[in-house]
Amino acid sequence: MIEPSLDVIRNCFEGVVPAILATCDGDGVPNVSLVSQVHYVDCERVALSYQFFNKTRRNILSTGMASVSVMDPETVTDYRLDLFYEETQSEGPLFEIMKAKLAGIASHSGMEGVFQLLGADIFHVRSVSVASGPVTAPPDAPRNLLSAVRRSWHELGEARELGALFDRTLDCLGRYFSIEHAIILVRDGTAERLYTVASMGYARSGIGSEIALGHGVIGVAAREGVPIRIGHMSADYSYGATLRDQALDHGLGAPEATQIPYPGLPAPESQIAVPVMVGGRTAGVLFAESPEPMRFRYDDEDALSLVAARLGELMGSGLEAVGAEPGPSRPSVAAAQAIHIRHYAADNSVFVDHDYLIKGVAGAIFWKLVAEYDLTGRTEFTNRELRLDPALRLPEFAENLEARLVLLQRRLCERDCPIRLEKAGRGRLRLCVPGTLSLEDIPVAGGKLTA
Amino acid sequence: MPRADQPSSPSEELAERRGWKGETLANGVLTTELAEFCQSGISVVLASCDGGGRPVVARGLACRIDADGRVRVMLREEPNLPFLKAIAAGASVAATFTKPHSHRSIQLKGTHAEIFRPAPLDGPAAFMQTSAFRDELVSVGHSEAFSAGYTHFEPHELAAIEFLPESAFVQTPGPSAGSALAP
Repeated sequence: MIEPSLDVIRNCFEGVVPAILATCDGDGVPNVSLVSQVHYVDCERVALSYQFFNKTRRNILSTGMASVSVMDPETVTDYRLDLFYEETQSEGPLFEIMKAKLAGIASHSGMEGVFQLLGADIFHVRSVSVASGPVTAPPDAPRNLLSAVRRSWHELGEARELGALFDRTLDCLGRYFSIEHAIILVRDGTAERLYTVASMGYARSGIGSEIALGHGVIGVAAREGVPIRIGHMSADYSYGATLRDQALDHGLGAPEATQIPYPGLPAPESQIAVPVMVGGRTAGVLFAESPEPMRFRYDDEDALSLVAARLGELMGSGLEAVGAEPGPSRPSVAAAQAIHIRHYAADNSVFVDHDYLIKGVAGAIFWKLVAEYDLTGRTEFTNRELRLDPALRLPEFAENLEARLVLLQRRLCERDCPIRLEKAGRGRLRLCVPGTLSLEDIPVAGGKLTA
Repeated sequence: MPRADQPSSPSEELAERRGWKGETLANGVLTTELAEFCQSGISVVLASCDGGGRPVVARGLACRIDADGRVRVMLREEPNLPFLKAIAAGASVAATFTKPHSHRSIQLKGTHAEIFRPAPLDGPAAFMQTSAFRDELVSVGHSEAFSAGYTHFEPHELAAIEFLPESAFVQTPGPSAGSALAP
């Protein structure tokens, strides 16, 4: 048992103060350097960033021993750790966590392009001792995270439908964690991307906006299935750059008509993305950000991971998308208006009265509903028939349909679309069409978007 | 870690040393410019090796370099007792000097070091250099409280070690970091 336990000195491992790393070669010749990152792995292990093959690296591989001094930036307590080398990981979750953090440290210290992670060197910590300090008392905690998790845990359990669960989660982040900007994204299992289903604290909701797997902290958290956070924004993880790159990847000079803008802050400093696991796979991401640097620490990561675990548990419990809880109020619309709907089969994008609504699976669902209504006058549909419809090509997991229905319902409200989706009983939806439809289906061959 | 507006690079350091035409100290290991850099009020960190072959880390406060190039590093005794014990047992020493603003960093190594009680000039030098270092930490974004705590010492805590550097290396992050500084 190491004392003090590493999990109570995690402030030392945030990269605020460089650590000192000492090694020796086989002849006892010492080497000492500053290192930008010592990462907390668990109560008995830390990882150092391996960035260059140098004397330190040779010594570690030769003797397996290192000694580091880390400092708590708030109490100015100097801890000395004796380390024994275990292994190097050059890919995978731990590597990605450290890569994101190092990118933030590099950005903050003007060393972007110089600090590059080649590997995560994992060490067993043989001993921890206090060399000096504390010099100052630790600052009062701004909030009690354990209590915040407990209250959120309880409140999320009260949600009776999926859309309300998303909203309650964001509400809890705001009230109990003082988080002002947050997004919930659901993974699109068929297309290797995530789409926004709820957001808080932005000028525009961004509902329906997409992030590719592996892009930015959200995409990396989803791909690796681990929380990713960054305390100082780096160009490598910025969504401004990400979205530009995506556009360039697709040969696009300007955003497509069907691209919903990502809602994020224009100049975030701190970001955290926590995977939402359902049945052992990543079903979504809970994301929060702040213009304040170093806003999210190890303890915030633990707390938000528990909220995300609760969210995942409830997402997998069979909640329906459209429920009895009060949703957004319906806009007043003129009765019996003509509503024009155009559907592009190429990507299932749907335009209502020439305004882009949605694409992908949610677009296909909407098109199925309005086409059926137009053909037969039917207004009620069961979730089961949507789930089983081979034309919709829904992935096998139930929450995929429900999350898409949340997305569709929210886009309809947000776009002030006269057509609405309502609950018509357990497992049933009602399509409300206050007018006459005029449908236009653009088949794949002529389906190139020009709007 | 603080921001470097214009980070230094290892290749610049190596080129400057190769092109150095001025006076040198410690049998050519140090240029007078490097000696000045080490005494300018920057980060000083130390390492040695204990009897079991394990590395021992230490934090220095300041340094004085005499006309022969002997490097005297002042440090707090109590927090660095394992290091001082290793030095007393005759182990080698490494000292790395780093300026946060530019990340410029050099390492000096010596095979023998001696431990001294503080000399009359050590206290004032440590006070001046830690004050300069504190100001630098604040200027690169650390809080006043942290910067003061990081550089704090009491005069009665001081000890000093002295060694003649036998080799110098560039430690500034980047390609060629760790290369020997030589003419």
